[in-house]
Amino acid sequence: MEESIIKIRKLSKRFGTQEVLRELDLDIPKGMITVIIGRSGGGKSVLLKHIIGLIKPDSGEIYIDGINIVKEPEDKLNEIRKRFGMLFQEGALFDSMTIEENVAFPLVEHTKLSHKEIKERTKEVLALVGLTGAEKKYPSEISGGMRKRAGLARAIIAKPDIILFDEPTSGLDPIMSAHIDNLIVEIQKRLNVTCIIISHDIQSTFRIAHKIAMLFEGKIIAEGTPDVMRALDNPYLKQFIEGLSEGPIQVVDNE
Amino acid sequence: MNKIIEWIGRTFINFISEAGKMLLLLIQVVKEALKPPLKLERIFIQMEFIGVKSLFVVILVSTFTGMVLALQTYTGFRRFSAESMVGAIVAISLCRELGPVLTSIMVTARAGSAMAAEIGTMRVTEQIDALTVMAVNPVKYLIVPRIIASILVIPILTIISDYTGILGGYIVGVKLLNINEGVYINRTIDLLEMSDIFNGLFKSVVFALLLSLIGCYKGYYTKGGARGVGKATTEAVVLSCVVIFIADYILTSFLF
Repeated sequence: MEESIIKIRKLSKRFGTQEVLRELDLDIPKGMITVIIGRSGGGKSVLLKHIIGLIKPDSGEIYIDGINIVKEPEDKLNEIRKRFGMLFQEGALFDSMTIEENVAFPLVEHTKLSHKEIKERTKEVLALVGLTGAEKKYPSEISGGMRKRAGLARAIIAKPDIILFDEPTSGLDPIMSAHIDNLIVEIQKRLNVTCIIISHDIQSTFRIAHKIAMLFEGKIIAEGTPDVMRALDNPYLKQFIEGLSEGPIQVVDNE
Repeated sequence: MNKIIEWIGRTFINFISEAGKMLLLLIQVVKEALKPPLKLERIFIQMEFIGVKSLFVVILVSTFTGMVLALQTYTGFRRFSAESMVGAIVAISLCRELGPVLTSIMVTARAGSAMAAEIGTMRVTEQIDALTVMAVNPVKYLIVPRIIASILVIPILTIISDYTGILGGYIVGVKLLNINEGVYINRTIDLLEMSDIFNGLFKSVVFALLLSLIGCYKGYYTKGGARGVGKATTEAVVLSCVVIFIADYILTSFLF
């Protein structure tokens, strides 16, 4: 397989008595879209937050281009974080700022670009996500789909190498989901970035993924290209892909 | 019986761990504040919110406090014919005690609660995570400006509060109760010392630090949605008020 940009080794994390990740291993190939699927509350978000250093693991390593970020101090970590963009589930836009100010935020904070250049870049990415005209609106004044697109614009404006997506299509209608999927594919091609997406939207996953990994009970139980995944004879994976309530995965609330 | 001891133990441990976490946050705030660049714009925005927008309510509360203080001391002092001292008593109580305390309590109610609510909402809607992900330190971005602005602006509010309180006392004492104007003013000037004012201002700086730190701390560690934000806001206001009164006694007994 291709070169890996992120390597995760024996990653473990527990919250109280609940083991969320158990010695998880995963490689993320460079310049591709990797989708991590799994049940809600199964630790996908926790995994994603580990990759960008929002949560520190109990044990294990995460290498980004060979640098183990678990051991890096906060200011070094911030340098690495500048290579990332992240789209949060609800967008996580700053509600005290307009869409324009939100999208421009990474450039205002970290670059010495002039006001005019920032304005132009903002306009460009807003056009890319189809939000021209919403510049002066506040996050509370626009729909959920628009907020996600604005969040996406903010994630890509500083030209990151790696973009993380926390359930980009959850809570959207099927048409908007397809639209966001197309945007992700287009942006990935255009900027040649590595995308890591966590999702439980199977339809969308098979539409966009180059690689799929399934997280179950704190481990990656199956991984491969969409074709490989479809052909795999793993009862857990099958149940998840086909969306059946009967099977080896029990529907119980253990919270 | 066991339950009671358990409860006392747990409360004590909680108290110590909260105080420790708050201290750690303060250390982080100092570190971040000293690390350039310090963006003045954010401090000015907070100064406007904490200071300028609290001005009206501080003036209102202090004026009436000065007025009622004059009224009450007059009633008492007349019993031993010491009406001439009313002005001095009003001024000294305001500068040493009521000015800084009332100002801090009013700012807590207005701005301390808003700090907890705003930062708390940002926490539960992942906006603080978003800051971190964009390599912006949330302590530096959100907390440092609020604490610096509070420390700069609350002493100024206290001076205004002292002034309007004394003015309120003057109106009641001289205009309504007919104490001789010359005596009222002269007594005030004679007996009020500069140190009364400065000590009061020193107190207000300490209160400013406490109330802004508590407001930000409660917001920053908010958990659990809208309910969590409500809880953080209430706790911030109650804790700030209690801590201000306790600190007031300790400072007064040690400093004056």
